[in-house]
Amino acid sequence: MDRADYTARVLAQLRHVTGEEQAAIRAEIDGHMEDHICALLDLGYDLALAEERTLAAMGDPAEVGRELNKQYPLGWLVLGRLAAWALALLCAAAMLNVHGVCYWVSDNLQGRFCPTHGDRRWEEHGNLETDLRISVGDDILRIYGTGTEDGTAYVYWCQYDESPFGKPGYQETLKGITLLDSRGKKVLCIGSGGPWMEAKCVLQRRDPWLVFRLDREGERTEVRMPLKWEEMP
Amino acid sequence: MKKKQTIEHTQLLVLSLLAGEDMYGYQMIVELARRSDHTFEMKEGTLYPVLHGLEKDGLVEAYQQEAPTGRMRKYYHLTRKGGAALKSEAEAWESYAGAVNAVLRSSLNLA
Repeated sequence: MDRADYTARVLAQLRHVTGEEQAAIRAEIDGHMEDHICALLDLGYDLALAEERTLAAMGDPAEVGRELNKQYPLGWLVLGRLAAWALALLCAAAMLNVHGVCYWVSDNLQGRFCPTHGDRRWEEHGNLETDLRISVGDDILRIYGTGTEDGTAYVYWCQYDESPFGKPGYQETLKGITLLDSRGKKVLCIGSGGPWMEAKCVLQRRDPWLVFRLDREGERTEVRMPLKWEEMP
Repeated sequence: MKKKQTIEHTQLLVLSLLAGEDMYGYQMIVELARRSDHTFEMKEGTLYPVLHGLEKDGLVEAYQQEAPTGRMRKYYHLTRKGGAALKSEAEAWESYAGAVNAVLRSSLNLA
């Protein structure tokens, strides 16, 4: 048996150590034997005899391994791995949350100060800026423009939280929105977006306005949205 | 006896060695043999289960330091908790040894 065999026999008894712990134990025991051999070489021993004496002084490797194994119970390994997983999940959740907060801050500030900025849908069909605001709990629903084209009206609105760091609850609001024409008739609309909405409404005539109706928690709010039509040739 | 001995004698000896300075494994073996006039010559491999147990209990902590040969050595350092345990266990040991000596002395007087 040489040094490597001795260490291997110790490690063979360890059942619940990680690869990192195993490498550390190997290095420590092998280092101990190297220290002992060097001390004997300094005393004039030849290498073979120094190694033999050192191995004899180390004791039974299986017994050493069994005793070491008691210091690494399965519970610790499982607990360590669970803790590592929990930490990884927490980090991921924290990163996602930070990303979400950044996203909301940007939306909240843009909705409050410059809702049309960078809105390609507005740039394509919008032709009249409006500033109609409805309080929705901690949020503000802001209708910031309308557009018209060939018998179709477009309505643009967004919902932002009054706190820059709040998350706007636009999904709940959507359920209570109805658009009406100037005669009070419900208009068929196709909407798309999240906190930034564009509704495309097919009209039977050139209505001078549309009504934006919001039903929420038993209360109804209506605002009139002007439409600007191009002059007929 | 004031208090029951709660740690093994080998652990107590190791803590005692580390009270003076930080040491690596082989150094502890040599020092223990020297200080005990070769009374305590343990199988050297059995030191490591003791050290790892003390480390797990927070009584010692380990760190790596480069040896003159360039190899990294693992040094052990007595923690504050380890120092407190050493003090407490040393007192218990003194009390225990005093009691044993008292019994021995009385037995010798009877003989």
